[in-house]
Amino acid sequence: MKEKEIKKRIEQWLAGELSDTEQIEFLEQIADYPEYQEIVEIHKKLRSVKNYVPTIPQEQLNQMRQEIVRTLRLQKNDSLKSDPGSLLERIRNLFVRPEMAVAALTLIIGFFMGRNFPVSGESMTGQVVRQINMLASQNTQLTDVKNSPYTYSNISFREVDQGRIELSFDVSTHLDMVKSKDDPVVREVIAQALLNPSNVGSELKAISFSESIVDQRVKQALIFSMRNAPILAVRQKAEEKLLEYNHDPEIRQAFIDLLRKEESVQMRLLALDYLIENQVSPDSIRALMENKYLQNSPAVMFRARKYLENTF
Amino acid sequence: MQKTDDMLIAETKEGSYEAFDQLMKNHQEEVYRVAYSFTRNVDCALDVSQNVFLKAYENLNSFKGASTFKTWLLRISWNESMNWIKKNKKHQMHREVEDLEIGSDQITDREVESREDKVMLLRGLFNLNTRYRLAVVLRYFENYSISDIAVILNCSEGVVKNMLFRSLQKMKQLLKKSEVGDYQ
Repeated sequence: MKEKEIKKRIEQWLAGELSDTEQIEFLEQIADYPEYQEIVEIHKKLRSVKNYVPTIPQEQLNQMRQEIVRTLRLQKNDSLKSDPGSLLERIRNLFVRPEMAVAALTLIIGFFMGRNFPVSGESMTGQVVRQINMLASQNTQLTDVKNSPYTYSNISFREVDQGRIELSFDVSTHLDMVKSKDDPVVREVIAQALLNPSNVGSELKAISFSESIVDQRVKQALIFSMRNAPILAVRQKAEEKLLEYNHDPEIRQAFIDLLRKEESVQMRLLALDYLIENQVSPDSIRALMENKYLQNSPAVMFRARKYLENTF
Repeated sequence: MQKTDDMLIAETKEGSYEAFDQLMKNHQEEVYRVAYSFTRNVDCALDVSQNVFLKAYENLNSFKGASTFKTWLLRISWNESMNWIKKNKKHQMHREVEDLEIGSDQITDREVESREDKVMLLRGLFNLNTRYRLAVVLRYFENYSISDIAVILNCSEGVVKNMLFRSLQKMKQLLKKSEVGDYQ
């Protein structure tokens, strides 16, 4: 039998395409070829292996699924909050009534003028209060309230005396602007986006825009996200960005904290690599290895042990 | 009555998290095992599995039923495992140790001649390139058909057959090498 034919036959045999009779014939034909006999042996051994990975406790899989469903629910809530349809609708409605458009534009212009030219006179809060007073006196229908250019949140009421109520609330409005990448407002907004995330998408976007910006507040905001973001993907993205800043004591400390608290092994391995590459003292690594949480992760412990062995 | 994958997919698309949870339950172990065959670490395999299901949920609308859901999911598992490998090139060493751990953990299989045999066999498997390794894992351990493997790896059935043959040839060489190494 020619080599080429044997090869074709063995491929068919491995794919389970030979009938019983053909299999017997085939095995007889290769009896004189030890190299193919060995392949048959490996095939048989592979067939006999039942468990090729360690059995995982169901609890761990249940936990994983719960985490996934929690993440999906969070993402859904986020996307509802920032539904582009409703935002566009609100902007469009802003210009349906001329007095509302004037009020909104006055506020936006006032905001920037007040920011750039702090002059004596009415404060920014005063201007906002005046605008919402004006809108409140003009709105008569519930749709007017729904279409308000301002969003009211964190609202509380307290009766001061008969006939008077103290109101306490936050007012926000939407602004669009184009700025250069190194503009202080851009840095401020990136840091705000990480500090007060409105949705996962905006968090990830903010992290990706932070790459070319070396700014103390952006760096600290990335550390904040890496520590606190409930979504693993966001924490991972923040960590990836921070890995680019070398020899920074604040980041080094953040990675040490991460090794003690983070659940994701992948993130812990990257943090450990950063610490090793940034020449953290072996004593610090040794101290980390005594942490019980870290001891539950053989991969991280192994890497740390290897580093210590190579150091001496 | 137990719901089929198709029913669960339809319910998930309508917004039911319970249906998606059931879908995950149906396939979590396969996804985990495939992820493990690349990460060789329980925690990392769980990280990868989590990403696989999140990706699957995100892209569920693009699943048109041309293949089975299981095959589609394993294709995502393969992509996510590749991403993991790219990110973790530095961690080859701990994987080597953990593949020994699998050997000692699961050594009670009666079918395999000896403990050393199984350890060496798995070591040979884990030394194959990732594409070939997946073909062997799916064929021998997960009992996938050649046509399903072809869908997952995005190649023809002929290529899959050739990959299996070459994988076994390569494993044979690796086993020989390690035998010689042990002897020396």
